[in-house]
Amino acid sequence: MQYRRFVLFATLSVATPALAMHITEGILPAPWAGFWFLLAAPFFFWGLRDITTRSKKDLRYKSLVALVGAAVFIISCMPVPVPVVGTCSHPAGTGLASLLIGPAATVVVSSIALTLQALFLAHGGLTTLGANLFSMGIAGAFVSYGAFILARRLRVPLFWAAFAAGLTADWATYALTSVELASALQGEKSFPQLFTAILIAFSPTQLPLGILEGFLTAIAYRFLVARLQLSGLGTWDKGLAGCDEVTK
Amino acid sequence: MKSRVLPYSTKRIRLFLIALLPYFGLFCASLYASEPKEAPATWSGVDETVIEKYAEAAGRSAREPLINTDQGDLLLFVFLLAGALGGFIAGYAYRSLSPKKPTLPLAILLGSLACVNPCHAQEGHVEQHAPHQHIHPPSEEPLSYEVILGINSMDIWNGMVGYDHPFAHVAPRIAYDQETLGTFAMGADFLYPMGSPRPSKCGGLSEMDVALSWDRSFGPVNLQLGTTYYSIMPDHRDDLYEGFVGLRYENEIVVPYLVGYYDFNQTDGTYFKGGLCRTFKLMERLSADIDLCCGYGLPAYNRGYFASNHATFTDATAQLILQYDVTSNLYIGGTAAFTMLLDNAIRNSQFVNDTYGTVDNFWFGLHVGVHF
Repeated sequence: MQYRRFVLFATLSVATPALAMHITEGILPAPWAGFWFLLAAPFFFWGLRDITTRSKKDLRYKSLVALVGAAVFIISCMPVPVPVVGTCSHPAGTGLASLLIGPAATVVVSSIALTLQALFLAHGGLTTLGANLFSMGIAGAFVSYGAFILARRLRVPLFWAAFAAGLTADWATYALTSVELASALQGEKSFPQLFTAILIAFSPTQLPLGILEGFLTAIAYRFLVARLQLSGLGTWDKGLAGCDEVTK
Repeated sequence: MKSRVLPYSTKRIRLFLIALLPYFGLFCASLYASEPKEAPATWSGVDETVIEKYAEAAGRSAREPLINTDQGDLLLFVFLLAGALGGFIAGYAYRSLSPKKPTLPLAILLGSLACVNPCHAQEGHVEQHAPHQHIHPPSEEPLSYEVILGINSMDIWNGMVGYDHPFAHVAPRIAYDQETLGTFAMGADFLYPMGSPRPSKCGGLSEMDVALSWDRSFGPVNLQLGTTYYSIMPDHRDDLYEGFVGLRYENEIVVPYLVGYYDFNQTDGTYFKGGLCRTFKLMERLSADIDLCCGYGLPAYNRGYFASNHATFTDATAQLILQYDVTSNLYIGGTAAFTMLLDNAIRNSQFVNDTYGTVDNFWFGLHVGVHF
């Protein structure tokens, strides 16, 4: 058992230069960069407040946020090659994060991961941080959270509900990135035309990657819920989180 | 009816495959629709093949990042570092959340980065000769007793060498923890030099320190008041009475503390010691305390001990204490510390060199303690 955990974390620890989807420094015009910052700011402060409130109730929540934060950072640095297409991209990790710590707190951990990547890993950018945060941290987290709740209310088994969360987190991230790019770069083209073109360009890479992220999320979520005492942390009620289902 | 006789898992697989059909249709359509006019570089990221492509078409190009690590193998190194740090943090957080703690090798590997335990009680910061007294967890009973036996390689006090040979010391302590009024404690420390010259009187005892203290927490802030009597054998000429007031801010990251000492009889001087400490719980029974502190003396204090008339930062100490709890009442540990005098005028003065010998000192110690 110890060795398996070791392999898990050793695997997580091996990050390599990411070839990925964050919007690069300088791509967005200043007004659009500022607009996405403004739009992301309330979610960020909501997340900070959420972390403070939950940590006061249970100190273990901070450890969980640290665990999830590190995981989001590593997952979103992990380039995955897509053989048929010949390109690389990376999962977002925000689907798993929103299931474990809630969508608002996911915004905060995503902002930390994106800032570190922009500063030291030549990945994303500081001026495009607001836009990248909105697509990965906010859209990814809230859409996946909603997908999980909906799936659980429809009595979908835990594994497939978590799969849906991972899948939608990835796809929502790229859909929002397409919106951001299309709105900022449309020029003389119409927004729907450019949006569709970018979305289609993303699809060959992101459609299979979304499936992969779905499985990754489902396996990781089951693993963590089964082995860690998460039920008392207040992210979910026991039934919805599937704590009883997994430990049976 | 036929499907009912299929195994449950086969039904699931069939459903899953059927659900995948629209996906594959979408995937193939997207491959066809997005077929690039020019072949992209193999395994390029979508930031290059999609984002930058559309940005360039719109007349915008990517700028160099603020800190450009994309130079040669530097990026690989930074990613490796980031991955290792991220893995350690994830591993440690996992360990702290796991009801079943990983065993020794994994715990050392995953737990070496840090933990969330704040420093234990800080009495050691005001009992200069017995810095180890703060490292065991407080007793659950209101009345607690503790005795520490230790050997140190030399005796350092506020950066000054008191005795530059190994010495043994015995430090008993009694504390009464009253829930609303705080903790009242009395401790003593008896020093027995082991090298030469060794005092022949008082049974080989060179110094006896007695400290009385009270401390209480107000939210995250802990206030400590107390007095220490340093009795220097055999003639008591250098006996010292000292009062102290200490504050520390308990938190999960690093505990800052500040203690002010007033010397009543030798110098009438004031000395402040401030620093940062943190306890790293490496394993279930093994913990490490790291303490970094710095001393600041006002003119009267510096005049008395360093023949300097200026207020200045006098000394700095970096200390590591490892403790292993053998049982719930018995523990063993080791200390390693580096102490140095800071101010150049003090370091270079003839008085200091003649009186204390060395200004930079590394010392270490071993101790065993019992508490009830």
